[in-house]
Amino acid sequence: MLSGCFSSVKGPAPVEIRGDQPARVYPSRKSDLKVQPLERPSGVAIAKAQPNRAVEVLVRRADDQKRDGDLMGASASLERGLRIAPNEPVLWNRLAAVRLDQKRFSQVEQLAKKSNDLNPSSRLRADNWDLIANAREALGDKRGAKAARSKATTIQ
Amino acid sequence: MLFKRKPSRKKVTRKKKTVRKKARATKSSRSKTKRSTKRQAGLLRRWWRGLLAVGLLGLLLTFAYSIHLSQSVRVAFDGKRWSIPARVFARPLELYVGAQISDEQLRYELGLLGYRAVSKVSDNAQWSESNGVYQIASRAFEFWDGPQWGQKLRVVLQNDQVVELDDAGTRQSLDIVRLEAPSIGSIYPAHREDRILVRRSEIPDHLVAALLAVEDRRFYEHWGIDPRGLARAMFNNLRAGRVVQGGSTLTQQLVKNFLLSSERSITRKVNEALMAFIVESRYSKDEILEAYANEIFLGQDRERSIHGFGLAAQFYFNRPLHELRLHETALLVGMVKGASYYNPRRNPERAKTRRNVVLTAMADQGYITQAQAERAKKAPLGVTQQGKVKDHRYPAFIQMVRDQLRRDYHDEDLTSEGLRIFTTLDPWAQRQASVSANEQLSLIESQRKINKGTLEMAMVMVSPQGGEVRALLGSRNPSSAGFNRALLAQRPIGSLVKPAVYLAALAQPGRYSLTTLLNDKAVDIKMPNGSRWQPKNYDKKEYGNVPLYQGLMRSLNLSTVDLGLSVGLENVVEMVEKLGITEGKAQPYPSLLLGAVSLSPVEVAQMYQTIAAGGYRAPLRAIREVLDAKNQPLQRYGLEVTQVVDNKPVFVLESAMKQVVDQGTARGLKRYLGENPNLAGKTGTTDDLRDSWYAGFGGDHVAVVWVGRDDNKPTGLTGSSGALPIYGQTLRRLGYSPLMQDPPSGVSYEWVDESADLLAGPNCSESIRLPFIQGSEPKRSRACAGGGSSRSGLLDRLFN
Repeated sequence: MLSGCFSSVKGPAPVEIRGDQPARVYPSRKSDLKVQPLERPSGVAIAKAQPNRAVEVLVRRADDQKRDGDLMGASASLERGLRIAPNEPVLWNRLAAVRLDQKRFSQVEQLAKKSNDLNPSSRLRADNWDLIANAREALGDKRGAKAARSKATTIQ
Repeated sequence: MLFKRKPSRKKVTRKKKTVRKKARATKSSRSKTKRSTKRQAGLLRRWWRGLLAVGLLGLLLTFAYSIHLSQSVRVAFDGKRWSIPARVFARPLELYVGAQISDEQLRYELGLLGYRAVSKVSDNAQWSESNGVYQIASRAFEFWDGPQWGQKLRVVLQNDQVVELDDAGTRQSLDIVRLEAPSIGSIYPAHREDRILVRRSEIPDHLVAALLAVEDRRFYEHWGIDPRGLARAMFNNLRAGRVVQGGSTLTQQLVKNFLLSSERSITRKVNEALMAFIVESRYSKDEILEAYANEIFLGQDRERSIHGFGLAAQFYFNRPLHELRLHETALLVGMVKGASYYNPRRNPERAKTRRNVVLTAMADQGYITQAQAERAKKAPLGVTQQGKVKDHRYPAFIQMVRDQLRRDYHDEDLTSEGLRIFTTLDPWAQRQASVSANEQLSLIESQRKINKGTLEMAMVMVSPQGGEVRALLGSRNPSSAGFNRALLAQRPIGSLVKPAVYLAALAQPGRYSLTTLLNDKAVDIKMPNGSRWQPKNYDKKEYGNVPLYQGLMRSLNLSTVDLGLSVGLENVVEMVEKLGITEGKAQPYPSLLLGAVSLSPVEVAQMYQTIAAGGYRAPLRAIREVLDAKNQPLQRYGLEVTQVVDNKPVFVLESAMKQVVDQGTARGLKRYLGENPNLAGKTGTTDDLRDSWYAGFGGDHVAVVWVGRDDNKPTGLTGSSGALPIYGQTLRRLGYSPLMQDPPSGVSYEWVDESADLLAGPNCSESIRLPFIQGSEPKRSRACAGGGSSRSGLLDRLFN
C-alpha cells in the first residue's frame, strides 16, 4: 500500500524542451540544463490532443528526474500524468521503468502489463516485455525472463 | 524549537544582582543592631539571632521558590513542544489546456483557497474575470516535489474547459500549473487545541501596533509588569465604575495563558507578576511577542479551541495571517479581550464596535493616521460564513485519512509534529455529491411520504485506475462527525455481488460467454442446517432460458443462482476475494449469489474499482504524501496495482454492466444523463427493501451509493429508486468522462441474437452487438427473420 520511501527528494528538475512550440513546465527554475531527446521507447508518440501536452511535459520531466536519480520525483510526476490520462500506456510504461530503478520488481511486471493492456504501439509493447524480463531476472526467474525477452524480440 | 534560551551570561548576572541586594539588606540590619542598648543587647541579640534565622530561612525559601518558578518558566518555555496538529490538504487543482473545469468550479476552488475576487488583480491571492478570461494571482506553495511559485495566470474557459493557459504578464503559454492545495482540516489531539504557528517575522506590523495600542502600550519598555499601565487601568476602571481596562502586560497575559490556571487569587497574581519578570529576564521582546501571538485564545469551534493569530486568521478569514488587512487584524486584536463576547459571527455589532475602538486607539497613539482609521472603520467585518468553517466540512474523509495514517504514525506525531498531509480529496466532487445526496433524499422523502430525515446514506467515489478516494460521504449531513457509514456500516450488498458471479463465469471463456443461456427457474435448495432456500425473482416470475448478459442486466435472481451454482460457489468466493474483499467475509453458501455478504460502501468501492480498472486492483488510498513541518518528504503512498483478473473477461463483464445502464435495472440514469450515458453499473436491493445500493463507473470515477435507515427498517426503496438518483444527480452536476470503448486484443464485437445463443446480423431485428473473447462467440447463426439485409443475414439465408 505504501511505497515506504524515506529518502529526501529534490525539487522539480528544471525542464526546458526544444521544439517549435516552446513548452514550459511551471514552475520554471533558471537553469541551463538541456533535456536529452527521449531515450528508450524513443519512438513513442503521445497523441497531440491538447490535454496530452501537459502529459507529455510530465513524461519529459519524469525522464529528467529519473536520469538525475530522483526516482520519487519521477514517480510523482508520472502519477500526476496518470491522473490526467489514466489510459495512456506511455505513462504506465515509464512508471514501470522507474519501479525497476527502485528495485520494486513485482510492481515492474504489473505496471508493464497494465501498459500492454492499453493497446500500446508495438515498440512500447516490446519495451514493456523488456522491462518484465529485467524484473523477472532480478527476482531470479530465469525461465520467465527468457520467455519475456523472446516476446520482446518477436514484437520488434 | 520556538524559544532559544538567551546566552547564560545574562542569567548569571541577574542572579548575582539579587544576591548582592540581599547581602546589603543584611548588612544594614546588622548596623542597626549595634546601636541598641547594652542592657537589652543580650536579649536582643538572642531575639535577633532568632529573627535572623527566620529571615534567612525565609530568604532561602524565597530563593528556592524563585528558583522553582524560574524552573517552571524554563520548562514551560524552553521545553514547550508546541503541539502543531497535522494539516490536511485536498488535492491541488491542476490547470492545463484541455482540463475539464467549469466557471462554477473554478470560482468554488478559488473561494476554498481564500482568493479574493477583485476588479483588477494587484496582489497575491486575488482573481478577476471578464468574458470568460480569468486573471489569477496564485500563492506560492510547497508541494511534495518542490515549490510551486506564485504567479499571475491567465486562464480562459470555454464550454467547461480550459482553452488557454498562460503567464498573464508575458503571455507565454504554460503547459501545466497546480494551484495550491486547499487546506481541509487538521488532526488535533484530545485537548483540542489547534494552532497554525507563525514566526515573529510573519506577524504584520499593524497587528503588533494594534496589540500595543490596546493591550500594552509600554510593552517595549517594561520589565514584565507595568505599574503605570496598572495605575491607568485602575483609574479608568474606577472612573467607569466597572472593569473597562485590564492592567496586565502582554507578558503577564502570556504567563497566565501559558503556565497558570485561571483561578483568581492574590497568590496567583503575585506568581504571575514574578513569572512575568522571570520571562522578561530570560527572553527577548520578540520571542515573547511570538509566543503570545501563537498562544492567545481567540475562539471556540465546537470542541476545538482556536489558539493564536495564525489559526484565527484562517478560521475567521480563510487566509494566512500576513495577508490580513488593517481592519481584519484590528478585529482579531479586539477579540483578545473576550473571544466569545466579541465573536464576530455571533455578535457582529459588538465585534464591530470593539474593532473600531482598537482602530481609534491605534490612530490616537499615532500608529496609523486618522484617515486610515476612518477608512478601516467603514469596512465590513469580512469574516467568512459559519457554514464554511473548515474542519467540519469533511469529517468522514478526514476520519479515513486518520485511519490510514494510524497504520504508520503514532497519534502523538499526528497531533503535535506539524505534519502536512496531502490527500486525494476532490473538494468539488465532494460538494456535488453532498448537495446531490441531500437534494435527492429530501425529494424521495417528500414524494414517498417518508418521515423527513429518516433516510440515511453513504457514498464513496474513487478514481478507477489509481484507487484514489475523490469523495466520501458518511452521512447525508456533510458536517456530521458521527457514525461514518461509508467506512463502518456493514450492510448486505444484495445484487451488487452479481458482477463477481458473472465475472467468475466469464473468466472461463471455454464455458461461458454473454450469450450462454441460463435457466431462470425456481429452485429449492436444502441448506446444511436443514432449512430450505427458495429464492425468487424480484417480480416473483420465472423467465426460462435467458442469455447470460440479460441475467445481469435485469438482475434476475434465478438466472444468477443457476449460473453461480454451475460456476461453483468456491469460484465465486475466490472472485469476490480477488476483487479486494477480505478473506472469510464471503462464505460459500448459495445465498452468497444473491448478496448475503455484509460489506461497507468502501469495501464495495474496492470491488468495483478492480472491475473498472480492467482487473487491476489498486488499494483505495486517501493519502498521497506526508511532509514534515519543514516540508521535508516523509512518506509517499504511491500508486500500486496488482492484476487479479485477466482484462478480457473484465471487459466483457463491463459491457454487460453497460447494458444494465442502457436497458436494464439502471436505465433510470438516462433521466439524469441523457439517452446514451455510456457508463457501467449495477443496482442492489436487499430483503424487504432495507438497503438500496448503486455501484457504477465511467472513465474517471467509480462510485458506490448506499441508502437505508440506521435502525435497519425497510425503506420501501430499491437500488434504482433510492441510491441511483443520488449517483445520477451527482454525475449530472459534476460531469464525467465515459467508458473507454476499445476492446483489448483477443476480444471482438459480434452481432448476436438478443435472446438466443446465436450470431445475427446488424440489421436483423432483435439483435445486439456484444463483445466476445476469441473462441467464445456463438457457433451457430440465426436466419434473419426481420428481413435484414446484412451480409451475415444474407449468408445465413444462403447457407443455413
